[in-house]
Amino acid sequence: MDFADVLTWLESTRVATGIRDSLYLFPLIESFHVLGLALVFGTSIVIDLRLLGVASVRRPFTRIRADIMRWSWAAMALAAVTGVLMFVTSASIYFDNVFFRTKMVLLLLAGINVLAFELTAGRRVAGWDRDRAGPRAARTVAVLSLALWVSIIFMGRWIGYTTSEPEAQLDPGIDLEDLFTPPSLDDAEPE
Amino acid sequence: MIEQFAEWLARTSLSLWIQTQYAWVIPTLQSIHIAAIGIVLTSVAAIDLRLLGWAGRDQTLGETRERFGPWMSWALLVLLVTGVLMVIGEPVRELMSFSFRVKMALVAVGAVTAFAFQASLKKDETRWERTLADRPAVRTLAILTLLVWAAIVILGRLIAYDYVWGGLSPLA
Amino acid sequence: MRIRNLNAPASGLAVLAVVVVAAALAVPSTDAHHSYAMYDGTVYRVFTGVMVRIVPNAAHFEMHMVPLNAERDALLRREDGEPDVWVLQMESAAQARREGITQEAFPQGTVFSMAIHPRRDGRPAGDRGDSGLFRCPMGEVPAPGRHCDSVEGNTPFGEGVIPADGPVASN
Repeated sequence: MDFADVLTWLESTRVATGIRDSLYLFPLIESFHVLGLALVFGTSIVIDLRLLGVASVRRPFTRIRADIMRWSWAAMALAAVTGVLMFVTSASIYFDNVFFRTKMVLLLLAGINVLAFELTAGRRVAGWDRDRAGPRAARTVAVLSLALWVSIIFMGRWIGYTTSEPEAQLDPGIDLEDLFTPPSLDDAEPE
Repeated sequence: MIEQFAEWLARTSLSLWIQTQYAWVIPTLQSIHIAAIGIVLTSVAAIDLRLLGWAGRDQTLGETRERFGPWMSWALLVLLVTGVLMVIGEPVRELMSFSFRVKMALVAVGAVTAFAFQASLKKDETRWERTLADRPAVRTLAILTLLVWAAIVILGRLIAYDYVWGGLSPLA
Repeated sequence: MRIRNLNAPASGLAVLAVVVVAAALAVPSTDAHHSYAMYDGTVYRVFTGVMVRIVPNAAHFEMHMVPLNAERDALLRREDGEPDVWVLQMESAAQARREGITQEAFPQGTVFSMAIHPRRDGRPAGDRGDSGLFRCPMGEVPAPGRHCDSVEGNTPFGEGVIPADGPVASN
């Protein structure tokens, strides 16, 4: 069973067929996905702007983080669950899509970026918690985070415009002649 | 008449330009629009949740408004500009959609409420902090406005699927 | 009108609004159809061809078709000899299913007719708009230049008729 089979299996699950067969589920799921990712973006830039010394500069960093991260995680969970639900409805189409793949890589990078913060500036947070801006490592992480999340939004929107491939091909192994025999010319000589 | 206006708008040169550059203009506008609504949503939530006492309690209500109010206003301006351009680019799809019309009504409610609340808060911070924030009506309003903004986001995406409204859709 | 009571930007906006509304009323409407920007809503292209595959994308359902020539006795090929596959898009998979448009109803090779608003960039795809969809009876094709709706025993899927090829007729 190779990966293509896994994707086809995902598309055949009851969850996938249920969403595809409903007039309302896919639009609703997509709407909640936008709600979730908008909040992920909004909450993460609160943190990034604090690290850069642009906003909330008088508030200790750890206070803001403790305050906002649970909302951020909840939004992330909403976006992830709705994202998976959308994915399974047409798993092989999305998996083939270059913008979908890029978005997944960027999400991974966003995760690594958070990890990088924890391993660098995050370890010494007590030393700069009340500073106007974070140390250089923290500011780098913040800039990367802003760039990544904006790109993730753009990639996500582009998926919706590119899953339909106008230059469709015949399935391999199919010949045009197999598809159509003119009824009136059944006895005519083959070309 | 709205339909005639939409048809007229679709034949203006700006609309025709957006239509021919569709492959990148509309998705770009939509992406910026989504980023900006994220800022509005988070700003409204930060102020409302502070009012309710569910987040940001190390800051006063006034400090919270000072931090998030201007970001909300600027992001709303970005939403307005990108939104108007999207309407010009796809006038019939937007103006002749049930989701869009309800969304606009909710945007009016949400924006007026937010600006009125922030203006009043600016004028008499202590009164809001000491008494008004505890009133059930005020707290209900705070929760309602959060739901209004969430509904705005959801309706915004549903413009692409106006058939879900069945007979309510103006083009049905 | 109490424009003099407003400040300068507000009166500017009010004047602009009046001008826009006046202009909208002055220009008569000629076309009352959808105008999705990716697709040219002012034009229909009518196709009769054979089913290649169905892509039941939840957000937009697709039927892939290789059109028949005008004589209805051969499939069209592109200049490079490759099959001319067109992507006919419509609303959601659920909507299509409700109209009976399924893999079972359209096995590969099925002859059917539908019109699309073509993509503005000229690539071989389009949106169904308000077009009807008709399946020819198994093993039959329409007369030259005609479509499946003209063949006796055809099966309609969903509402609508096959519109005229070319500019969308005003109604």
